Amino acid sequence: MNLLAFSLLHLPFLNLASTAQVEPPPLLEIADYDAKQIEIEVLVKLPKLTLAQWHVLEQTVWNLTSRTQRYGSRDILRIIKPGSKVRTALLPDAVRLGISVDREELSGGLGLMQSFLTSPSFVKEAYREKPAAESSVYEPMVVPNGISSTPLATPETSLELWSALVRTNTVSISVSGNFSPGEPTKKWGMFIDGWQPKFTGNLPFTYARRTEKPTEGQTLVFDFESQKPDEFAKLVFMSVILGGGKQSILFKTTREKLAETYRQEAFVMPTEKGWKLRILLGVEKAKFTPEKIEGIRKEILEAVKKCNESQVKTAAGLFRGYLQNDISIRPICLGGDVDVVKEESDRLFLRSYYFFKAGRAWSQDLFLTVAESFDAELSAKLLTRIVSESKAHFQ
Amino acid sequence: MLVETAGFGNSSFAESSRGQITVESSQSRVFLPNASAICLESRKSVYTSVQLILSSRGIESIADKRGYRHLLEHLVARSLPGHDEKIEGAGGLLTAYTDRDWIRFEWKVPAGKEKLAYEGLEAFLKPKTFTAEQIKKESRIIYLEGLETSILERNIEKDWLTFYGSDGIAPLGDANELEKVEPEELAMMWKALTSGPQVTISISGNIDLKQESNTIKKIAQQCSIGKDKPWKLRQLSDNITAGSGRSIYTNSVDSKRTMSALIAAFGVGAKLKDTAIHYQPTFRGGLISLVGEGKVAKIVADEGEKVIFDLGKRYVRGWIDFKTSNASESAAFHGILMSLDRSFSPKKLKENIDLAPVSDFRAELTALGGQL
Repeated sequence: MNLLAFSLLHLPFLNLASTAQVEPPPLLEIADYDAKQIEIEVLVKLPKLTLAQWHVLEQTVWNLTSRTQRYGSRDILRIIKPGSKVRTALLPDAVRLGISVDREELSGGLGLMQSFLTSPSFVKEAYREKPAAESSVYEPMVVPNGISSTPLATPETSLELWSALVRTNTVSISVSGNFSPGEPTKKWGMFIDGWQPKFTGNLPFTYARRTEKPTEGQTLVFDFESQKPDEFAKLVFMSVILGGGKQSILFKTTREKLAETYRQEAFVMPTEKGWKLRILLGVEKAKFTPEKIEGIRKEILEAVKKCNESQVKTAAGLFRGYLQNDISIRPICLGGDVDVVKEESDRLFLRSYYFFKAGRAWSQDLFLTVAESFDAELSAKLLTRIVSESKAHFQ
Repeated sequence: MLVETAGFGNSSFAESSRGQITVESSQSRVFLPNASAICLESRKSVYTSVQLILSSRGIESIADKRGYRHLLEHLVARSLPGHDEKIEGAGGLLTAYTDRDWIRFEWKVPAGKEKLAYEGLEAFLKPKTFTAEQIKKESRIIYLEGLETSILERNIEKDWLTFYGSDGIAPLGDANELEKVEPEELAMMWKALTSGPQVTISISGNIDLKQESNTIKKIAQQCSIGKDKPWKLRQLSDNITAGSGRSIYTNSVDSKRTMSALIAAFGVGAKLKDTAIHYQPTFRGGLISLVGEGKVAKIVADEGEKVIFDLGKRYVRGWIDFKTSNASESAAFHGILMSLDRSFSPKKLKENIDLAPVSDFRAELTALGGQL
């Protein structure tokens, strides 16, 4: 990629109580003359939400991109790259909106994004409940709360909640592609200058309390949470040692030794306050008692203790392959079944989200350096902590 | 070691939209006396994709051998001690898939490390022996794999059974039956699968065509000639039953009828919400399954038949372009098509887009509308 310009504006921390109108949402530009299209990614940072608000938000995001007050569904199809979709993802602390547009549609794309943010349209006739995950057994494993459908969400609650969440200090926008440096910033300013959010105080909405629990799935999950932003790179590499490829600890233990899994993975995903390393084991749930779950943990810990230099080196090689050679492992999960280093749009989202989350620029080299700094002893120590302290449940 | 259920044709519309991608590449196709075939492509890429595709012609997943090829895929992928460690340590990965018409192994290795992949390729093409213990363990893994099947995949499998009866069974296999398979029977099947007529090797990456061609020829010419030359063609039954509301019938991927059906599905799919099209190219009867939200009849009435036709052609072209847009996809697409029929190619499919008659398209659109 030919990086011609890289301007990073200050991203303010979330403060929903703030009423001060300062400046429009900031824009990150990454100009690339080799790019065949323009990618636009928006993040809307979320405050802590109740389960009821989560439910409304999930339905809101599902319905948000069909139309806006200014753009009908055909207008949207005309603006975005022919045949592509508006990308959406719901993360524990943010909503992702992304589109790909042709070079000549930069203005149209920015206008559309502004419209999604500030003039959404939730029409009763077109408002639809998000269907259950049908195409992927994976999806329930990566949604924040395992939310199930209830009739809480309506066009009115969606409009109310979305309008309250979108504020100048909760939105960031990133643009990459073939444009003149400064062009997106200037155009974005024209769209967004003078916009005043409808709400400036704390979220006033208290939807009916949900009583049912999220449905328990079939996959055995071990979750290790960290609130230290600087642990992200370490956790990502640990997830490669644990679950990346066929030399990984999980493959060798739960699949090859115990024959208890076909799918065994580990990845890092965001939480409200930090990161979570999730071990995911596709087991036969009916045969799993609490004792057996602890037995699996013990087996993994035994394998961790025996972790050797060769395994760590192999994992480092595979991690390099993931970052540089388009190798399909997935140690980072930022909502949905998306590989965040493969496509330019997803890499832009990763950069944008990482800066928003960790407060620093994404650096592939830094991640590789962290991986290469681990030896077997250091890896075993951190992995022991991760596996021992992780909480097991079915999701 | 996945069954690539619908993976090959799992066309989100983002894929087809990336159409008109201009990729500079040069290709070479080699046919050896033992009837094996090699497809080489030189292109700009940070990695090289080396793929071994074993056609199931004559060895399809018939009822009494259900899942055998899938079991073989699992067993063979792990048959070379230390191989995965070498590949992964070098920044690569070996993956394997089984479908109705093929088994496919892919070594994705950084440019310049192709030799690592060739070691595996050569070893996999040799005769294998298996133990009852290995078979039992992998049958258990296949059982667990079956538990991971999504609702959508199950629905598509049901469609296959509805349309084709027992000929439409999925290649996954029944673990209870698989664990009883005799090791010798598997070894014999592997020998048949690796005989020349079944073997296609497809490589794409930043490679020297002449040099790689010589290396791969040496590996491929070790395959036996095989008893079935040319292929024994086993057709799926023509007794088609319209079915479940998602799928429409196709025949060979190079036929104009199949192209018309693809154009209809892609054209309508472009106007549905959350569309996905599942299609596996085949040399025999197949299915196109369309998933999405909306009413076909209304879409056709609103947009007009010509708009759907033109949109469909554009999207099918985009889909084919996507399938050759990077080394991994391209090696798979060229290799799979060649494994179905030595004359099949992406170029030939594209020619069929322009030749697809409106009358065929209209018939497929009606079939699609009547079923959704």
